[in-house]
Amino acid sequence: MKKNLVLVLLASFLVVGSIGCSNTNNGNSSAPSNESAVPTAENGDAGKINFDEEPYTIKVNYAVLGQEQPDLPKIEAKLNEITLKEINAKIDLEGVSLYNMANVYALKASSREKTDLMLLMPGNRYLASFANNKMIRPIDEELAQWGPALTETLGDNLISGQFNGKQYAIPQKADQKNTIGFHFSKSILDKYNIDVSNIKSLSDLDSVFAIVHEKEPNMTVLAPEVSVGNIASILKWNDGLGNAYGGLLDPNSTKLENMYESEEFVETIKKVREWYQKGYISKDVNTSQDDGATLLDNGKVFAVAASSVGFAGGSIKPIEKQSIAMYPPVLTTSDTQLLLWSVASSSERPDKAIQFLNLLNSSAELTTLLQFGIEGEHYEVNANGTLNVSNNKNYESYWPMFGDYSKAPLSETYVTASGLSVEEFKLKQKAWNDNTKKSIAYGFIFDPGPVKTEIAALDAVAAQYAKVIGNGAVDPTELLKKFNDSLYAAGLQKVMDEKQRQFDAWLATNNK
Amino acid sequence: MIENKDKWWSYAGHIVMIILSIVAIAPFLLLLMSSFTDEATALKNGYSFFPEKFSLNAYHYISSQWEMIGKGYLITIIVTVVGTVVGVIISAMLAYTLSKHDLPGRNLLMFLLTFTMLFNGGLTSSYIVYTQIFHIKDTILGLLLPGLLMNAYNVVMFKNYFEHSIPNALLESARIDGATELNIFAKISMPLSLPMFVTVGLTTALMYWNDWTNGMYYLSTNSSIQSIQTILNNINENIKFLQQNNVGNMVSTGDMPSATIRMAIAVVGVVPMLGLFPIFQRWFVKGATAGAVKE
Amino acid sequence: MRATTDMKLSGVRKKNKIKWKSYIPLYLMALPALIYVFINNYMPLYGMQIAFRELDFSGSIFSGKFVWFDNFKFLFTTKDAMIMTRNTVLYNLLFIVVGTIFSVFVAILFNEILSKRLAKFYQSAVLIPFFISMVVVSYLGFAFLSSENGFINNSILKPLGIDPVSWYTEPKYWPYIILFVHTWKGMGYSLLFITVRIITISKDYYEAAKIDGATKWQQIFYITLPFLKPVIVLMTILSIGRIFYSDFGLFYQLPMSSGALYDVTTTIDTYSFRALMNLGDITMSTATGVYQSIVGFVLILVTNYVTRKFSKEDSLF
Repeated sequence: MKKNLVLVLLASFLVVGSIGCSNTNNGNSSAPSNESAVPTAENGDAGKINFDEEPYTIKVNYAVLGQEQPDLPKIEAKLNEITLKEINAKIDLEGVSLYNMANVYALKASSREKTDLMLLMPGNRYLASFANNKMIRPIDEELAQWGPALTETLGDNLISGQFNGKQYAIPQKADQKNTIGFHFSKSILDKYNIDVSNIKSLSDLDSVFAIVHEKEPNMTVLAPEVSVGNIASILKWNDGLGNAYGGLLDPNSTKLENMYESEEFVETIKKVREWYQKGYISKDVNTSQDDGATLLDNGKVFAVAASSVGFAGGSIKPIEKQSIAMYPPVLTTSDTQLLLWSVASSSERPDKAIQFLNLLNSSAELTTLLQFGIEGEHYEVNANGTLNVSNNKNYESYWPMFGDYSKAPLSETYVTASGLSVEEFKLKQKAWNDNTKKSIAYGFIFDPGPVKTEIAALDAVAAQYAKVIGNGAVDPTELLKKFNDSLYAAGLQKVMDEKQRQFDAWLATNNK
Repeated sequence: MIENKDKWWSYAGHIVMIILSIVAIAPFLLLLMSSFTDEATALKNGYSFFPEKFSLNAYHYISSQWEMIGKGYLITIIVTVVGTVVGVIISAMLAYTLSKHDLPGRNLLMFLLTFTMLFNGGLTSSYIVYTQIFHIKDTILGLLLPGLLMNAYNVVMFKNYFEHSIPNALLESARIDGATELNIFAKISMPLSLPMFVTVGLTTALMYWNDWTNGMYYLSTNSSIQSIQTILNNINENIKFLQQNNVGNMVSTGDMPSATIRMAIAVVGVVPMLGLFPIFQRWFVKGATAGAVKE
Repeated sequence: MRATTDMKLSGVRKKNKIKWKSYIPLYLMALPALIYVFINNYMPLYGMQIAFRELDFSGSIFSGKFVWFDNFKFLFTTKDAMIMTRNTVLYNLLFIVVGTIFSVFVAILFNEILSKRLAKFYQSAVLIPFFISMVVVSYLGFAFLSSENGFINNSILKPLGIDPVSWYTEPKYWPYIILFVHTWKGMGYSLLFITVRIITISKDYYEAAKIDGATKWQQIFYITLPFLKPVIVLMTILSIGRIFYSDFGLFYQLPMSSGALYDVTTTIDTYSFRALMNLGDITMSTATGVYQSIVGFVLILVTNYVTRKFSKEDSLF
């Protein structure tokens, strides 16, 4: 019986093994083509696109919400007219469901399905691991040769697509950096004549919360903006350099610290605990599946602790809100890593992929086409230059994935939701951006590879404690100690040491 | 004539079953009511049996996608029917073979089968096998084949039933009469174990009906054969993902009735299956009376 | 009864020994399913090796460097290793014991019901939870258990003058809640499953027993239960093989992943999910599966061996 079993197993291994081998062959054959794909060496015509060859079809994977838009084929047809003319290539867009992105890419890569460009979103989660796994490839050469517009428009921001000193991805330019603070329901503020514009510290909010709690007993006073987040972690500024285990507590510091032990964090959780005990925070805060933001819009919550406070100082849709910032905006690496374009290591023509990205970043026409669709069919142009997209059912793109949006027109709904006029909107945005500082660690990305095991264990520990502590649901003094002990037991020190070592090396090479 | 004592046993059965029925139905009613609750009310007061304010908004949102959903239903029905019929029949045929005690190699086959209950190569290698060797990506086979068609558990249950509930003498006399094995299976074993077919069929059908993972992995996002659960799951998961990841705040989830829509989605997904059960039950009872044979 | 079948069987066996050919149709009937099993279950087994390899997509995924047990380490590095193993095994044992007793008890009583119409209704009603997905169950659970708006706190405990309970932070209630939901969800199916067996028991046995003056209890103990034994043994063996697995929804979604409850809700599956949620490393998740499989495999071999010793015909192979 056992002998037979071995035979059956062997047979199955052989069959699948042969696929494994053919895959290896593919891998090998594509490897040399990576080099030969760069035509510079041969003709020396740097940056000149070869129009004599058969047009290459670039497979572009981008993010969608479950399904592609019905009118995508129309957009693609229009897009191909332009790309054939400009870079002698066709574009085949394939949406990847956002929530399932990691799995889909892993499957595509392991079965070596054709993929050239991959949008990583949120890119800070995927960049290091995909680069480590060699799912994506370095693109320094291609960028140097085919990406003049990319270098020009992105400037310093390009660095956030680097990993271990090599360029692995092209970031999308962030239109603005949001910061931490609070959103308040404007109607309640007005009703009780509360002025929040002078709030400087968390304690300043005590009296505000007290009034609302007393006058509106059925209202939850404070909630975290997202149900998976927690109030204290939202409110304590921290640049985790890739994960929550050891980070910079100040944008100018170069020494990593465990945020959960820092004095400021302890102060913050004490305050949150106090609010919880006074009944400002819902008892269900740790298990509710409804976001504070949703509850705020529906009149259940008065204020949310948020990391999305932007330059507009509030919004008018769906309800009127006023926002205050508790910390000046600081740009960190992960901010410009939200949307990253990278080239699959199985791509046969990385040069074409970069050519397309370059074209995308230099052409407002393409950005507008991919973002808003076709004029007259999917949008109308308003007198003030914004686009009216309200009649559009069959094509919309949810995120600014496609190129340089500072060149493209603004969507009307986006501007009106902020309650500002177009001019005000642009002015305020510019002022805010000029005021945004960069973290000293901007551009540094932690390579979790050497401490993968520890990070998995730490993630499990953090999932157990962080929310319970950060929302004030339990007395923090004892539990916080237990949390930190568990973190150290799971290898926190090792991760911090490794991160600090990498960070120091990065600082040294970047002369900071 | 029914004895008094039997009546008492019957009463005890009623009491237990009434309690269990209430425990089973109450949450379902809650689910139904929640899906008809006004979004703001649901967020304020939580889900409740008697919501303050009713609303059809969640269903409006779903029906706005009706074109897609209607087609999804159709795909799901096709896949469920084909998958269940084929799956149950091939499982039963294998079980029939295995239920023959003197079959050479029976133990080996049983072992190989049990082995599959415990070991699996994982999603990645299944995906490689199905897409690289059999090329079923973006075809209806992508919804039918991976993982769901049959499993060892059902085969073992069938086999056990054939062994213990179908009198061997019946099969032997048919064999002596010269009937082929396929004939015996179709004419004797199958009718006699109809309730078992219904039970296994029900679980298989439910698995097909509820499956969204195959659609997620084996169909591209532009595929025209998305099943209903894949569509519903996409709506659900994307709302969740957007909430959790705070991806740049570029999409407002505010206009999607998130708290009530997940309930409406569950109702839309489950009601057709519930409606089918009485039909299954009729076969079950029919088979039951036929199955109670004397040995 | 069994003795006579066995005698018949052995008689048949002698006759069939010479007729090898007569088995060919049987093998052919088994073939479609076997082909499927080969494709669906055996061919992908080749991929299990990635559990021992470094994740490397540059070539074939099966050509990464061998790192042996590195991918398994994360399962054993924290103190949770003990807790999750304990939880997984104990809950499964609890489900096997309580589940079996409960479903046999209910099924026997159910089959005593004289009104067939009502019986049909009950049968449909208790099957409803079987159709509801665990995610939705978790929302419904929250509707019952939430601290502020929960049905239990507001409509049951408050009128009784009992202090509200913060269900999602009190681990002591959760073993019961999990057992309850597990039983609740599965009761319709197990009722169906056992009823299938009970209705095939010939009425003659009961008639004969009645004539002999046997009480209902005696009929249950001497007729019904022995008939159910094979299927109960079988289901137990199969469940023991899956003792390292857990229903993800039951342990992750139902407790709303509440950190305060981890000591009683963490299982190998939920731990692995939480640990790999951000890393998304397929070699490490495959490693979890390999670990569970091997333990399950050993356990099923042992259980089957023991069953063989005591009652050969009830063993799997």
